Amino acid sequence: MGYGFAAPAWLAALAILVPLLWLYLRSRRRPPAVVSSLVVWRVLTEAAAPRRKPYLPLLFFVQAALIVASVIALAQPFVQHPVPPGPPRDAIVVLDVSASMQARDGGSTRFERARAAAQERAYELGRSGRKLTVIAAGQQPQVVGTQLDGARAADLIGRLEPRDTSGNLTAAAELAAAQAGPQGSIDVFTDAAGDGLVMSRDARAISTVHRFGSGGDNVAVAGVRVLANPFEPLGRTRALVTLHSYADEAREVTITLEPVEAASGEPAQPVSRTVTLAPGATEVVSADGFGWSGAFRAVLAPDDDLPLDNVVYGVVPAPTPLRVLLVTEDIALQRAVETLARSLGNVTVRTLVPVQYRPEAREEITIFDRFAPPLPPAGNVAYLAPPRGNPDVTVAGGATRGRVAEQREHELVAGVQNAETLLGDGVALAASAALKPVLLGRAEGREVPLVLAGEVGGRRIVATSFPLRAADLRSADALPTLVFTINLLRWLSPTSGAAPLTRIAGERLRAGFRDAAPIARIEGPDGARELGPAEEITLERAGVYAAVGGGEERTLLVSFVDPVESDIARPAAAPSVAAPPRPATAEPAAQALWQRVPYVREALLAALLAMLLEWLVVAASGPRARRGGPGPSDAAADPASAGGATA
Amino acid sequence: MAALRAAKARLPEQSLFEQAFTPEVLRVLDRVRLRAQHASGDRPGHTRVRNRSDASGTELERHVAYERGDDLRRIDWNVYARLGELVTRRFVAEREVPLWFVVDASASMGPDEMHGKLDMARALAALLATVSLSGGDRVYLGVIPGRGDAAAVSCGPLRSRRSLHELRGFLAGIRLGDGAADLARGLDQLLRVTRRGMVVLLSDFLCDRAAGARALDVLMTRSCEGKLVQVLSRRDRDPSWLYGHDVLIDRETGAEFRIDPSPDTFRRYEAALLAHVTALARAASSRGMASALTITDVGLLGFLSGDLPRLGLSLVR
Repeated sequence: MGYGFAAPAWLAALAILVPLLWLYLRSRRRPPAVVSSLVVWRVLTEAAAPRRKPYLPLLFFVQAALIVASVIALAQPFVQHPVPPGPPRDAIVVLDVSASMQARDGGSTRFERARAAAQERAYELGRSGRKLTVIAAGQQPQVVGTQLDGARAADLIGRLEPRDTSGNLTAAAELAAAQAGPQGSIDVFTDAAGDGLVMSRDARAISTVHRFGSGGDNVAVAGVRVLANPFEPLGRTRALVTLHSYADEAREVTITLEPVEAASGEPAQPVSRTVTLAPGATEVVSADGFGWSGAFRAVLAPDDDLPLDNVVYGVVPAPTPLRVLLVTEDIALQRAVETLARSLGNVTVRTLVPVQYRPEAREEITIFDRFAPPLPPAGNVAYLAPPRGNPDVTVAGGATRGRVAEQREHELVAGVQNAETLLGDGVALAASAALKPVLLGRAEGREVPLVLAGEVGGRRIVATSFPLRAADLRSADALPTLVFTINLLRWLSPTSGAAPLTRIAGERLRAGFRDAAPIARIEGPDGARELGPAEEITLERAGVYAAVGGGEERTLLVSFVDPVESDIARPAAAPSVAAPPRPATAEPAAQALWQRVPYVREALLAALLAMLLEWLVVAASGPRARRGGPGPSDAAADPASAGGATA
Repeated sequence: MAALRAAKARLPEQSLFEQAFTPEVLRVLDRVRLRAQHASGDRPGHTRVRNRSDASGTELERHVAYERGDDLRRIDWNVYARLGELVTRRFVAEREVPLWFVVDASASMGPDEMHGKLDMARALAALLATVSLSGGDRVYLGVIPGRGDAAAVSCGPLRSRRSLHELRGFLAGIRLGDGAADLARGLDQLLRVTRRGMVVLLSDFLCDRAAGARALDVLMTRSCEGKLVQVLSRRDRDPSWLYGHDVLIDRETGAEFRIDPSPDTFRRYEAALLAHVTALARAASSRGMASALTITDVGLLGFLSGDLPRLGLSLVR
């Protein structure tokens, strides 16, 4: 605990005491006093020997106390109390484990160099007697260990490996700052550029950033998209691979698409394309002519400084014949659909009239034209102007005719121009939680859904308020109806339940799926891991995983696509100099660890009390009190009461 | 009293001595009498002497048995008619009491200023003398000068209110001496021809106790009823005005005295003053005399209401 004054200059006002003292001492140099007689005075023999030391009355001390208290109040006194210690003041080592740290740098990688430096720093801090905390700065900061000595921290750092995700150094630095406190220190080992490192002022004040890596020559696969039409053969499937160059000069690269697992029969032929990329250019490479289907990897060659982003994964769906069951009484529609199916190819259409429909007659796609069975079919289904009484679709009213008001972005209406031509006399549909409007109209002054689409229990359901007109399917002039019908068949075509799952590194994967068996075990580049029913994990490694659940095994393809991490080019920077370790017994900063408690009011109160005391002293020694109050003089004035007798 | 209060209120800047001669005060004093206790003169007068009886008078005191040679005119025949005994009447003696009002004019009574000790002593002497003259008593005024070798000065006898002018002139002419007064010597000079009178001595009595005792002995020798009025000033009683003064000078002798002007010293002074006053009161009491202490601040009104009864005197209508 300490003491001080916020305005110590006021203490100079204590000089007022000097004239006060002079006034009191000066009064002793008054001229001699003439008294009536010394007869009584001579009785006081001791009074004849005045004291040598100067005499100051009580009033002087009271007035001096009044002045001192007032001056102290003006000087704003305070008492410093130590603030309770905050979080442990550790030395924090933050190691960047983001994907860009995998960039090659000389004979090793940036991460290996940073890790070695972090270990060395940990030993150094440990030797200075400080306790260490190690934080891995991945997509989410992770505290690897706290209150560690140097050797233990270095050991934990040595076990860290870079991840195939982005890094959040800001969150890691803030976590480190909270852990370290104002007296701690943070050593950040990263390849992030100085201007890209966002930290709070408090964190920056105690941070030392050790940068690793410079230059960087990289071309990344920025994405892959497979365009597969279920009505077309496998050879017409196209894969669009996006490439981006982060290099400083033009690069000629070859992208090769090859299946992840070789087919059991004749070897699958990879598909390759070669392209020249200008510095900073993005190119989309189209590859087709696939002779195989299933999961594939797109591999970029030649190798560059960051191999991680040279591989992405995709899936070429296997072409399967699409079987459609059309339930209608409209013969013309039946013929028109069959004609369309023949034109599309790989599609077979079976037609039933509503009275012939049985739930057992199931196909991959069922289309009900102005009919709805009491029990919905098991597969994907489309209802065209359905009547009431079906659990899949809610019909709000009878015949209605509206205008198109809003066309939302959905595969069903992709490419449909002038959707007004689709409409005819139909029914009023009502949206539900599962079925969302894709095409909205306005009728009788209110919005009505014209096309609803959604998934219920793993089944895809489409409902239209209007029926398909057979004439429109045969007329080249009614293109919107044709496009909508093809979109309808394409969107309702089922996907294989065993199709590989595709994810991006860093995404979270839920163990449970709706209407599907949850993933109980996952095996991948990081090894095997058991998952709980509701567990959610972050896919931190790119690669091919096997997700096992419900007795089935599905392939999980995790690709690394992150433009920020792929941009590994760094300007050359001078090697950072580590800040000297602070001694463990460093004195705390007064501003941070001491709290000032002002005592101005108490000083003012003391001044007021001194003033009151001064009045009391003056009143007690003044002539008025002597005149009125009982005292020796009053006894002297009354000799009778003092024992004197009167005649 | 009301006249004195009114005079004091109307003329606050008037000296005490002048206040005693204002018409209002004189009218009041004309109606009151100063009654002594045992002092009496030898000559018939108007003052009734309680401890003495006469064969003639106005107030019956007692009956005594007739003795041969008594005046037959004093026999109370009514008593003889009822009791068959010859008794004569005795009356309260009425004498002319010689009254001395002696003022100490030593330097310690100074300074001679309004409301000072000498002013107070003059005023009290004038007041009491005026009352005495109204009662038909024989009044003498005396001044004991403040120099040991000077003779005391007297004035009188004054016998009636017609002598007020003379009385006022004598008192107004009192001047302070420059030294200490010898009270015993002065009283001895003044009372050579007076016996059995009443002497009112107005002084501050700031002298040696032995000197005071000698003065009282002179009064005893003359068989006088002594009334000691000790007049002190505020500064005599309350020494707080001496803060900062460490050298005191005696007004009478010019001697210096060093003190420590501390509250403790002043408390001890007050105790010493109390002892001095008490010693004077005891000395007077032991000689059958009365004494009273008055402070100049109380004024004439305060003296008459508070201090005069202590002297055994009273104003009666």
